[in-house]
Amino acid sequence: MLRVGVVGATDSARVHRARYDELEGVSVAGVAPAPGGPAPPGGDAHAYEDVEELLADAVDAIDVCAPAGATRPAVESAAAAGLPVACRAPLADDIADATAVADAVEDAGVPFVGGGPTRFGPEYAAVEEGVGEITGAPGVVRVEREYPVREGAADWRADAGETGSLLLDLAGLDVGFLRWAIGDIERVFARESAAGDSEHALTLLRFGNGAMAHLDTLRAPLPEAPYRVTVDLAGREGNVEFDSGDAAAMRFHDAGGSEPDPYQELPLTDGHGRDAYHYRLAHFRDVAAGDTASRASVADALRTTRATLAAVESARRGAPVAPAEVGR
Amino acid sequence: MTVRVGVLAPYHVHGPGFGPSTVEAADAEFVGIGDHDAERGRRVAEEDDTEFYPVEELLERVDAVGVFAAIPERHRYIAAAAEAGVDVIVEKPLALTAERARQSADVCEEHGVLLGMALPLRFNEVVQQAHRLLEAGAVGELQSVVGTNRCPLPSTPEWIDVHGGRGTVAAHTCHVTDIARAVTGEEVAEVYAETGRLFGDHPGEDAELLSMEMTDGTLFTHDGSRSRPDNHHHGATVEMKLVGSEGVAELNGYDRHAREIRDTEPNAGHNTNNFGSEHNTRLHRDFVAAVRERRPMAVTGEDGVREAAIVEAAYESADRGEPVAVEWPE
Repeated sequence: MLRVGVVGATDSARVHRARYDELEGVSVAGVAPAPGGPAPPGGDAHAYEDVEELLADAVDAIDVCAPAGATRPAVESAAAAGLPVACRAPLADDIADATAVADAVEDAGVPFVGGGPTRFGPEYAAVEEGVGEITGAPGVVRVEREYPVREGAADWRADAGETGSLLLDLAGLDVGFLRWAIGDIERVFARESAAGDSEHALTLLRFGNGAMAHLDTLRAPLPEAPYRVTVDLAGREGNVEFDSGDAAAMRFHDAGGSEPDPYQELPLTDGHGRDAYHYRLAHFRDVAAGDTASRASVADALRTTRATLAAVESARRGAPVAPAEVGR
Repeated sequence: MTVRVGVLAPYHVHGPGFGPSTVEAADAEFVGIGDHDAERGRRVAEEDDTEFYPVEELLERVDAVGVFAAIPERHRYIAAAAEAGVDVIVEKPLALTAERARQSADVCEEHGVLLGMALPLRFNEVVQQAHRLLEAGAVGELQSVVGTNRCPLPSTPEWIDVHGGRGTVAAHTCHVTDIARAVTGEEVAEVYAETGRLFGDHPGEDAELLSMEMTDGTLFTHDGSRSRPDNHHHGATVEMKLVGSEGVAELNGYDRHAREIRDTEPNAGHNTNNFGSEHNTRLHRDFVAAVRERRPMAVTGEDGVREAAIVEAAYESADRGEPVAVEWPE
């Protein structure tokens, strides 16, 4: 039985804990707050004061579910303790911290699983499989990601513990997916707009192989709307398209107006009832046990982080930015 | 009064059929085709069941013409019509540079003739509905517009409408920039362009992503790529998403359809039976009514100048790899 310590109190932390409870061969031995962050609820797992206390006790692996600005100390401590680590890209909210995180993991030589739901979900795998096979050389990809902020979630930012950067929190998921599905990114041009509580980012990506992408990322108070992801990937020989709205296995309308839980709507589950989180954490379990090599290395997570930070810098400067330029 | 209409230089695919469509839509007489390329002119005249005339002779017999010449020749035909006192509607873009477009607009103004653009989407009722929603405050404060006008790769040179290596930016930008300008009342202030030849081997770019900012700071992106597979059941797309502080409106100008799925040839597979907008009919009606009533058409030569300026800035941005301000001579 692999004993995992989960660090952080984000929505991701909550979902990860639920998935570990369902997975065989792994259990949540303890939880701790991310440095400077709120304490997660205990539940069945032992609640520690901080990461150091968690590491001092009997855990076999650490899953860092902290906002990008708080990952570095947790990952460094886990790596120093010689434990396998999971941490979603982006690794940090600036390139120096992200590089330090990657260095700590590589120097310690510990197993690492980065990536995120977009590298492990069946819907993303279905699109990725079509690149080349169905599409021929990829041309133009359009990705929409709409994260609806629910009614009564006035303090959702504090609760979620996310970085507050739409590009880092949400567009980064699609940057990571497209780096995997299409190839390395040569330059990024991003613009952001905000009106009321509605945040919107429009990002153009240019890949080294000539392909281009348009990312449409929205986080806004839309209480009735589902969390929605669409992918339209056009290549020389054909298209692969995915719309989470089409793929909803059940539509439910309630006269009482119940609030949908964003993490129950997405990611989608496959025929085994498993979703992206299940597959990613099952992979982490197997990597931590030494049964398999990681499909999402820390070096790869650093490249995704760099490309995402290029979007942040581009939006700030009003100019295209190459990932290689970030932090110079 | 029956308006007498002609067609000049039916090089662009919208040239053939323009005359008959105009007659069907409004009280107009289709007099004939005029073309300096007599062979082309005669061929289309036969297809359209009408007469062929040398250009000067056609211009004496009509009140208004549609100009469908290849981009480098548009000004020549517009000027000839203006000098003959004939009103003009022209295929977009008016020109590839704002300055050239201004010359065409000026020559028409100098001769007191109307100049309009053959851009039908302001007449699309879904676009009009989005405009009403926006004006009613349904999305709150507008922050972004996301547009697409995608289509399959063209199969003939006349569809590509390439001049000097220019492709889809020239051919597929103006429809959506026009409706974005109309719906917001703003101009495009700055363009950053990514272009490429990613879908075929014709000269000219076939992939286009524009990231723009409007004069009031509203973000506006446009995808005019020739990216649709030939067999896609929704070949051409006209989409516009309006994102604001209070809501999001998504419109699809081509989505009203019945799905057809055939097992047998021809056209095996998924197709659509579109029962969508009659925006083209309304464009023809507006053209004829404007000529009759001596009033501007819905999309004017001035709009054409502004839109040529966007196309020019997009090409410059693609060349320079940086955002470019949109400018035009007054």
